[in-house]
Amino acid sequence: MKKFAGLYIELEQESRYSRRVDAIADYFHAVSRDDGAIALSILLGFKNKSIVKKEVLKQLACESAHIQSWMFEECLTHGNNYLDTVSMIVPSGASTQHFSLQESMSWLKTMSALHPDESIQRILIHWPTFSVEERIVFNQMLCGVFKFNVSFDELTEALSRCSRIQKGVVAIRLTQWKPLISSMDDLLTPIDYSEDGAMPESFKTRWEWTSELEGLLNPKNWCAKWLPDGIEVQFIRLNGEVFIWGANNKLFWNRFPELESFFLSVEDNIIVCGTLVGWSNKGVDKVILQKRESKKNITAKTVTDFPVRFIVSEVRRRFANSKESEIVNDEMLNRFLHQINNVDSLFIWNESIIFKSWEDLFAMQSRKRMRGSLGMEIFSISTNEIGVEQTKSYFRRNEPYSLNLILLYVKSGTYNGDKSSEEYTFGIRHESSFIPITRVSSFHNDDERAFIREFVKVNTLEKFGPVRNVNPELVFKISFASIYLNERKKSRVELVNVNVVCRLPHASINDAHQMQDLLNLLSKT
Amino acid sequence: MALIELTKHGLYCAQADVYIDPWKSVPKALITHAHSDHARSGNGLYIAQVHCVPLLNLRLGKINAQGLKYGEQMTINGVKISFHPAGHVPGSSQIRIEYKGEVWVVSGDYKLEDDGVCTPFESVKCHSFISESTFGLPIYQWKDQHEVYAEINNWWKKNATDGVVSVIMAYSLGKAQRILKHLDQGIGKVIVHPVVGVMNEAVRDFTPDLPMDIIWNKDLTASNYRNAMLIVPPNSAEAMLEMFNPCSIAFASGWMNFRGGKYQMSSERGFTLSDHADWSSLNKAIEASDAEQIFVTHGFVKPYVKWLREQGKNAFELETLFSSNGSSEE
Repeated sequence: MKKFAGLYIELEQESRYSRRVDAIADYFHAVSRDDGAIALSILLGFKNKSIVKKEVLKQLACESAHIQSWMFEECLTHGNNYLDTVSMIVPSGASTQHFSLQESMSWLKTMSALHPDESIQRILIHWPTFSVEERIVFNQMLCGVFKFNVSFDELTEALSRCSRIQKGVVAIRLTQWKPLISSMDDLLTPIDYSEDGAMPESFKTRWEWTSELEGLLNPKNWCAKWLPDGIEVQFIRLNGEVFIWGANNKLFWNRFPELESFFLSVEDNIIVCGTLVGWSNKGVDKVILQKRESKKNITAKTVTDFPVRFIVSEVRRRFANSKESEIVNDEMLNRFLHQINNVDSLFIWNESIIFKSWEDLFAMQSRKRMRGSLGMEIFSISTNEIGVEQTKSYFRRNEPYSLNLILLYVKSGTYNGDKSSEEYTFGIRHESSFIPITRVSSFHNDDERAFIREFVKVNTLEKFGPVRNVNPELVFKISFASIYLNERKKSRVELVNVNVVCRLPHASINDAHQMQDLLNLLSKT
Repeated sequence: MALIELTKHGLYCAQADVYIDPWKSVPKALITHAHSDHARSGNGLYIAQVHCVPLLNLRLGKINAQGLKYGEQMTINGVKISFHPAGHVPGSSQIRIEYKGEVWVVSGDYKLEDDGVCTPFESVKCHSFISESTFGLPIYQWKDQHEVYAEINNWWKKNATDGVVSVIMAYSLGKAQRILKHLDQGIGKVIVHPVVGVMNEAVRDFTPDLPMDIIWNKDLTASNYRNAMLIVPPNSAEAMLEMFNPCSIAFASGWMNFRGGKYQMSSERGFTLSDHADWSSLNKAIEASDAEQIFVTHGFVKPYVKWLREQGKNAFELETLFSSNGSSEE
C-alpha cells in the first residue's frame, strides 16, 4: 500500500511523460504480481463501491485528532480538499506498518459486508497504521472516489518497459484484461504472435521534397493527396473488435466511440488508414481535436461537443493472423466507400489528385490552410502504393525554412521501447560558443544513424547519463515549418515540425548558420 | 505589570529594559535567531547565542553584539537572562527571562526534531511561554525527515541520470544547511548560490561536519553542473533557470504539505521539510514547558488559541510582526 500511495503522490506531482512512465514501471517492478494486478485494475479505472460517507470519516477523524468540527473547517479552508484534510488530521501511530495493496483491498471488501458500526471500528484500527499518503488513498477508496490520473498510453508504455513485451501487444492485451479477475500472468505471458492480426502497419515515412527532385521526377507518374492536420491513425477490425492505432504503437482505447461503432459493422481483417481531424462548421479544426484529446473521459456530450471526422486515405486487407496486408481491390474499396457514404458526415474519402506539372501541384498546395492540411503528399501511380516503396513517397511543405545546424548532443533513449534509438540536439554558433536550438528524435536513414553512432564513439567530449556531448563538427541541413519566439528557450526561439533533411558531408562548422541568421529569419517571419 | 509585555517596538522586559526580537530600533535587543523577521538592523546592542552572532554580522553588517553560550546566564537589573536551544536554525534560541522566581520563555521559532545541523531543542520549564504557531493547525504533521531526505536524493538521482540539473529552493539560513548535510554527495556535486555559500561558511565555523560545497560563479562550465544539485534561495531561482537549462526545480518547505502544489510557486516538485514545529510538536512543547499561561504569536494564532482554551489552557493571542505565511523564512 505504501508503494501504491507513493506512486499516486508521484503521479500527482509529475507532469513529464517519461518520468510518469518511469514511476509506473518502477512500481510494477517493485511489487508482487498480486499487488500489480490490483494496481492495474485501479489504474485502468476500476472503482470500488462507497463504503462510508465522507462526513462520517470527517467525524471519526475529528474524534481521533481530539478536535472540534470548527477546527476541521479551519483546516479545510487551508487545505481545500475534504478527504485530504480528513487524512491529514488523523494522528499517525507510533510506527506505521507495511500492508500490501492486496491486504488493503481485502479489508475494503470485508468492510463493505459489515454493519456500519463495525466498519467504523475497522477504520479506526487501520488509520494509525498508515502513513498520511496511504490514508489519502485509503480514504478515497472508502468513499469510492479513488481515481488515478494516468493515461492508457502511459500505462502501456510502462508495462511494456518493465515486461520487455512490445508496447502494441501490451496495449491489445490490456483491452482484454478484466479488472480484479485477470492476473498479471495473463498480461505478461511471452509473445505468441496471436496479437499479430491486431497490430498496426508501419506508419509511412515521408521525406522532404527538394527542388532537385523536380527535375528528376516526371509529374505524369505521380498523383497527390492532401495531408490533413490531425492524428494519423489506422483502424483495424479483427474478430469483432476495433483497434485504433496511432504512431508509435499508441492505442486509442475508448477514445472515439462514434467511429468504433461504425467499424464494428465492416468486414474482419480490414485496415483503414487515414487521419482523425477535429471538425467545426469551418471544416477541419485543430483546436476541437486538441480539446477532445485532453478529455479524460469520453462521454456522449464529449462526442457532441468535440466532433471528429476520419479522413480515409487507404483501405487494406490483412491476411489472416499475419502482419502482412495488401491494398483492397476496387470492388472491396467501392463496397467500403458505399458503407461510409451511408454514415452521415463521419467519414471523408481523401481523393487522389492528378496534376499536370509540379507548378500546378505547388499552386494547389498554397491553399493548404483553407483545406486544414499540413500540405500534400505524392505517390507513385504505377505502383499504386503509398509508403510501401518508401523511396517513392515524398512530402512537400509550402516553402519550408531551413538552416544548417551543428550536431551537439546525442542521447540514447528508449523511444518506442527501442533502447537503440537516439535523440539528436542541433545547435547554432554564437560567437565562440554553441547554443542548442532543437531536438530531433529520428533519422529516416539507417546508414546515417550508423554513421553518427560511429562518430559519437570517437568524438564524445562529455557524458551526462545517456547524453553524449560530441565534438561540434557535423553540419546538417534542418528544415522546419515555422519559427517562434520563446523566452523559455536558451536560444529564445522555437522551431516547429523539425526534420533533418540531410547531413552536409563537405560542410565545416564555418558553413553552419549563426545566431544572427536565426534572428534575421525570426524577424522576417 | 507582566514581566514581558507587547509594545510598539516589540516584546519588552521593562525590568531589564531589553526587547526581544524588536521590529523597531531599540538600545538593547535579545535576538532569538538571525532570520530577517526576528533580527532587524538599527539596534544599539544585540545579545544573542554565541553562534548566532557571526550570522547576525553577515546579515546586518557591523553591529555591536554580545554572545552567550547556551545555558549561560547574564543578569540585568536583577533579571536573569539565558539562551536555550530552539532547534530552528543554527544559532537559534529560546530566551528564558527570570525575575524574582517568575520565569518567562520566548520561543522564537522552533522545531523539536534534531536536524543534525543545529543544536536540538531543549524544553525549558516556565510560568509563561510565548510560542510561535506558524503551523498551528492539525493538518500540519511532518513525516519523518529521513524519508524526505531520501525523496530529495531520489529526485536528484533521476535528474542526474537524465542529464538534468536539480535546483532546490531553500532559505539560505537553516534549510540550505539542513539539505546540504543530508544530500548523497555520491550522486554529484553540490553547487550553492553565493548567498547560501557565505552562510554555509559561517555555519561551518561552528559546525565543522557540514559538508563542503561549490559556490556558484560565472566561470563554472557545463561539466560542473550537469548532474549537480543547486541550492538556491527562493527569490533567486528564476535567475538561475536560464543558466542551468535543462533543470528541474523543487522547493523544500513546510508549505509543500499539500498535494497538488497549492503553495508550490514555480517549482515542479515540493518536499515537505520545515524548520518549524508541526501541530503535534507545538502541543508537546507547550505541554513540556509546564507553563501556566501561553501566549501565541505568528501563525494560526486565533484557531490555535481557541483550541488550547478548549484543552483547558490559559492561552492568549499576541499580535507580533513576525512573519507567519508562505513567504517567511522557515
